[in-house]
Parts: sequence; structure tokens; C-alpha cells
Amino acid sequence: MKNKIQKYRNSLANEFTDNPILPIFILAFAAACIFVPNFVSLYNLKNFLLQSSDVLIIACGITFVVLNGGIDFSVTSTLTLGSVVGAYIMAMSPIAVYPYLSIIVANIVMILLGVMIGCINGFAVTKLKMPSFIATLATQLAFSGVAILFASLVTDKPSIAGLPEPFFALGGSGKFFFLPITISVLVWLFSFWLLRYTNFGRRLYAVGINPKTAYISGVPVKKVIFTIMVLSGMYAGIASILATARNQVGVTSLGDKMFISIIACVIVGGTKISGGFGGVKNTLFGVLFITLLNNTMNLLGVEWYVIMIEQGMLILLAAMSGYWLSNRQNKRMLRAAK
Amino acid sequence: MKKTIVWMLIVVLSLALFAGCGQPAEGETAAPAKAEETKAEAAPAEEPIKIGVSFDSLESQWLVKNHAVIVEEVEARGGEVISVMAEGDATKQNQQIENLIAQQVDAIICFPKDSAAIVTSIKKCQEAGIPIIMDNRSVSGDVLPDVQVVANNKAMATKVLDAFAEIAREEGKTYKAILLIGGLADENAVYRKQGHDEGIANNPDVFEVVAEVPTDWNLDTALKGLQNALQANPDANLIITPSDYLWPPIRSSLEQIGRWGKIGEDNHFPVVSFDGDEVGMQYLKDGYNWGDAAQDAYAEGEMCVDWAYRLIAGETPPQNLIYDEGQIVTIANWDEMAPQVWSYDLLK
Repeated sequence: MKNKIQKYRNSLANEFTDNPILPIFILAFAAACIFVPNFVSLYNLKNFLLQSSDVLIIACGITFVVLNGGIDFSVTSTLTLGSVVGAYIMAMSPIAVYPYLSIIVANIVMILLGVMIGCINGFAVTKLKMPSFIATLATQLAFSGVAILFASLVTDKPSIAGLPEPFFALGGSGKFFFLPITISVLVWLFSFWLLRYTNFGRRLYAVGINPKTAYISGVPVKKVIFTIMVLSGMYAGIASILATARNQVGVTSLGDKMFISIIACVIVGGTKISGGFGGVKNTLFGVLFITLLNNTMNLLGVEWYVIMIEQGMLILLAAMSGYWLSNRQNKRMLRAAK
Repeated sequence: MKKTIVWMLIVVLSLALFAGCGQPAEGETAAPAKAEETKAEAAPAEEPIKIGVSFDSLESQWLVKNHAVIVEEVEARGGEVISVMAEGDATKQNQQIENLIAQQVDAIICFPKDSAAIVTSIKKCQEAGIPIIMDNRSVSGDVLPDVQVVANNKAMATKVLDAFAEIAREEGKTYKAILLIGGLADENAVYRKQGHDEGIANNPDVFEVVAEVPTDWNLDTALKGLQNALQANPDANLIITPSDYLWPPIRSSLEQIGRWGKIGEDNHFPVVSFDGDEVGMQYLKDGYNWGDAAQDAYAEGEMCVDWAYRLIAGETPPQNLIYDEGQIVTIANWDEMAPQVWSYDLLK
């Protein structure tokens, strides 16, 4: 009996070490249920899940890159470019008169734009040997400019409205609130399967831990890096569909301020910025925690500048707790080895 | 083993959910509606009216004053303000308004980041039966908020240039202008640009535009663009700005080329501005600025609050757009018009 309890304790400790934000999220969620007025209403919980959905998709894409020790700044410009191009196709192009056709074409184009930007990033990192920081910063700047140029050519208004009503279902409008949540869950499940149960996932972790050792072991490092860049771009393209549908316009400022929140979700979740440790399970809890924070602070009527301070402090705390738990685990392992 | 842990976590979360359930859900998935019956069943002591205030940002003095006026006015009426700030993110603003709806506020006053992206929030407010008022930035199209209190940006921008052109003709001067443009996601910026274009077109004998500088309402972007424009056009002799918010980069750029001087001094460089905030009006008083189209931060804030209460009481506005015609203040009519501007009492 004692052994069983000890096993449970060890398993729980391991789970909390692997996902350092999990115990904090559980406590915060419980506290929100008890102390925050209007938190536990179907309307608010629905909003909570909807607000998490597109962030989760982009964060999963970035997780692949961060696991490799890299970063992808271009996701925000992918969001923006996808939004304005997709909106143009659905509202102003010759096929706009056929709503369902234009929605299908627009969705495909938005995803392909993400793939294209991912390919450019992948080429820059693998063939031109640019650090991902520089390569993706360059594409972020370039494609943000392209998005604004495109929008200015097709309209003299600040955003592109007049999208077909059926498209808004992808943003959770009306009775279709489950749709973006389902899409984000499916994307997350695919990402989890990819990392946990495929050769690709194992290779990705190997490259993230030590690319030289991975190369010597026969892992096609460049192919792995190129693939994760494409995946990150593609995921941003998918998120662009959901975000555009939620806002019901194509807007050039769509991804502007999102990057910090997205990377915070990944880091707070417990994925190490140096690569090789973490995963989309960590990212899921990171996304839920950050969204919970924003939601509850707004519901409590906390002043907006206090929210910013608290967000920063809590992100620091979460990152420190992850570091402390990880160190504790390493010391335990060393003691056990001795 | 891991399955067991997962189940334990699910149980803990569920317990927390049930523990926190103080409100019967009754299977609703739509926004919480504001029924008259619910109000009638409330406690005998009247609950204060809750006004949600959603602003894009507080990046300019005008916005700071406007926001402060709204908060003061609501509190003076015994109401409660729940204020949220989108920090320039349209998606975040929509999410914050969803949170305000979840808090069952009685009305929402909104200064939108993007006039098209806010439509989705307007629809949600309408579904929830919560009146929403646009403050200073308007929305156009099929879905409109209950009321929109806006400055007549285009007309005011045209009028201030027409007034400047009259002064210029009396002095027999012509001007090569650098035209600053605000953030194109902001309808105000778009209308002011249209108004400036119209004012320039109305007075071709006075104005020639030598450069247009998009600023995206960013001081750093404005500074760099203006420095480059002054460098490329050394014969430029007028700056037209769509907001007093952009005075810091204007002053910095002119000081850099030794052209920060008052009217009458050799190094004076004329500027015409918009907003009527303390900085622009002070420069107008001191002789650095020639004209300012002043939108009234007080009046617009008070009108928004007034209409929030009237809409809560069930009143219908006579029209959707309620204009603040503002004041056009120039060096020629300073004594007459300046005291009417909201920032006049703040001037040194």
C-alpha cells in the first residue's frame, strides 16, 4: 500500500515537473470558479475556450520551432497576410459572388500562404544557414509590408469587410461556437501524435537537444528543420482563418500584438527556449493559463495597467517555478544515481 | 498510471467547477440577456448602473481626457465603470468586450481600434441586449451601434486648411506641404486625410504637397518619416498633421534642422494641426502652430455617457451619428475661439 502511494506521488510529481504550469493552472482555475463573479457561466466558459482556440494553434506551430532551439517571428505576418488576402477573395474577388466556393478557395489560399512563408523561412535557415531569429524577423517585416500594400491596393478603407456569413461559423458565430474549438483540438491532437508517436517527433527532439550528435546519428537535420518551419507557417495560416472569421473582417493589424502572448504561452507552458524539452502538452496548459489570466482579470475589473504588471510577474513566476522544479528533478536523479 | 492521474485532475477540476457554481446555468449558450423581469426581481436597493468602457489605448492626451471625463461623469451619476484597454489590438478588444458582456454591464462605451473589426462585438452586444455607443471613431455598414458620437473629422480637416489658406492669401504666400497621415486602420485618420486632401484641392493656389508621410500613429515612425521628408524636400515650408499627438516628432525634426521658431522669427516653420489638445493649443498660443481643428474631449465624453443612460432607460436616438462639429482655432481668431476649446484652461 505504501509503495502504491509512493508510486502515485512520484507520478504526480513527474507530471507536475514535466508540466510546471499545470498545478498553477489548476489552482488558478479553482480560485476563479470560487472567487471571480461571472466566471462560471456558460457564456464566459464558451468565450474562454474560443479565445484560446486560435492562440493554441499558432502556439503549437511555434512549439515545434522552439523545441529545435529556434524561433519564428513571422507567424504574425502570416496571420495578417492571410487575413487580408482571404478577405479579398471572399469579399471582392470575381468568385466572391459564390460564397461557399470563395470560402473554400480563401481557406486553401490562407493555408498555402502560411506554407509558402514557412518554406521561405526553412530555406533561409537550412540552405542560407541564417539563424531562425534573423530569417523569421526578416520575413515578418517583409510580409507585414506586403499585407499592408495588398490591402491598400484593393481598398481605401482600413480593413476588408463584407465577408460571407457562412464563413463566420469558423469563428464560432452563433450556434457554431464549437467549430473553432474542435478545429484547435484536432490540430493539437495531430501535433501531439506527431511529436509523441512518430519518427519525426523523435528526430525533432534529438535535433533540439544536440544537432551535431543528431547529424552523426543519421538524423536528416536540415529536413527536420525545414519541416518544422513549414508546419509553423501552416499552423499560422490555419489560425488566420479562425481569427479572421472571429473578427469578421480582413484586417492588417490582426497579428500585430499577438507574438508576445503566443511565445509567453509556449515558455510558461514549460517548453525550454534552448530546445529539446517540452511539447504541445506543455503549450496547451500555457495557453489555458494565459487565457485564464486575461479572462479573470477582465472579469474582476482590474485596471489594464495592473493586468500588464501581473501578467509579467506571473510569467516570471511560472518560468522560475519550471526552472526550480526541473533542477529539483535533476538533483533527485543524481542522488538516485549515487 | 498516467490515465489515473489524468482522471484525478479531471475530478479536481470538476469539483472546482461545481464549487464555484453560484449561478444557475439553465442550459444557456447565448449571451446573458438583460430582461426587464430580472431587474424587477433585483434587491430593493437599486444596484448601481455598470458601464463598460472599452478603449483602444490612451496614447494621446485627448484620449486620456476623454476617458477621464467618461469615468467622472458615470461616477457623478452614481454608476460604476469597468474599464478595459486593448493596447492597439483589435482582436483583444473584441475579447474584452465579450468579457464585459459576461459581466452583464448595462451599457458599453467603445473607442474602437478598428472600425470594421468591432462589428462582431456590436452584434454580440445586440444579441445580449446591451446598448453600445461608439466614442469618437465611427462604424459604417449594415450593422451599426446604438449611437455614435464622433467629430466631423473630414469637415474639420478641410475647414482648418481653408482657414489657413485665407491667411496665406492675405500674406501672399504659397506653401510646399509635408502631409502626415495617421494609422490607416483608424477611420478618423482616413477621414482626416480625405479632409486634408479636399482642403488642398480647394486651395491649389496656396498648397502643393511635396511629401506624404504615413505614421501609423507611431511616434518613432513619424519621426523617421518626417526627418526623411525634410531631408528630401529642403524647400518644404509647411507641415500638416492629423493629430496633436504627433507634435513631439514634429518638434524634434524641426529642431534638428534649426527650424523650431515662432511666427515672425526667421527660422519659423508653419504647422497646421488637429485635435485641440493641450500641446497643440499651447504651441498655437506661443506662436509655433498656425491652426488647430479642435475636437471636444469633454463634450464627446459627456454625450457618450448621456446617451448610455438614455439608451438604458429605453430612449431611441433621433439619428445614429451625433456629430461634434468642433472648433477651428487659428492665429487669426484665437481670442474668439480658443476659450471654447476644452484644453484652454490647461494652457500656461
